Amino acid sequence: MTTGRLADAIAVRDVVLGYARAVDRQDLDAVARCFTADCAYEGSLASGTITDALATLRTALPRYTRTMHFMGTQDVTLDRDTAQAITYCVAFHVRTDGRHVTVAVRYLDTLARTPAGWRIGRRVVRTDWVRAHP
Amino acid sequence: MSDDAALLRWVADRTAIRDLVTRYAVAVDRKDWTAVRTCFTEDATCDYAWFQGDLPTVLGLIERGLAQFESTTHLVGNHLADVAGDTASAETYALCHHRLRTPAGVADRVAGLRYLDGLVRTPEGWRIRRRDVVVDWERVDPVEGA
Repeated sequence: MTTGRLADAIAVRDVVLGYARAVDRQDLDAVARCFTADCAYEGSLASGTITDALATLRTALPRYTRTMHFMGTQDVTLDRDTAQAITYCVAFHVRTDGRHVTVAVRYLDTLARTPAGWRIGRRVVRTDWVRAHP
Repeated sequence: MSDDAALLRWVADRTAIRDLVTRYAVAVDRKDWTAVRTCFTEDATCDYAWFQGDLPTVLGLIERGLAQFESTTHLVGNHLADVAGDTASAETYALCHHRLRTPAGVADRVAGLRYLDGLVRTPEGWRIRRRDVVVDWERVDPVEGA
């Protein structure tokens, strides 16, 4: 494996983890920077584009005092200027009423190398389970 | 340094910093305090949210604090780092389970936290010189059948 491919693998992981950091900081501008402007998006937030997902996120985030998108298993397949990344996430949500809700999702991402760096160009989010804590 | 050499150095630094933060988590769960100490510079300072101070103070409090638990699991997840020459900053997510057995029953104290580390390149490799712990959430989960 060449140095460039090693660096790409880290950079691709950084973008997906950067999404988690941005959403957990409730920094929607930073969230948007993880995606191409026309990123196709399918998941619980929206079925359309990243613009639709961001709009849902903007109304959803104030329901939580804290979120933690904890990411583990990550499978990255690199092509030259595109990459596929499957990322497992257990997302911990603390609601404003103090209740904890845990959601397990998989992010199925297609990323593209752009002049500004790697960006998510297509995202499918699959929810595997949800648990509300007493 | 050529572009390729600089890129290789970045890859090596990112990998080494990730390994260091992971090594801390492995060492602390094994209560291997010598290995924990080698993750830090001697002049390191830490704010562990529950307590803070210089390295000897903090290591002593970690050792005493964790002694009450039957086991601990520091599961390391998201890790991002910015390298700038011989210093770096890193943010690492950890999901921490602390199993507590008392006459009243068994419970897991669970905490979702982030390590915010300031790191420095030393002759022995990367070391943590400043650590801040941000506790994002905590919960006590009763454990049945344990």
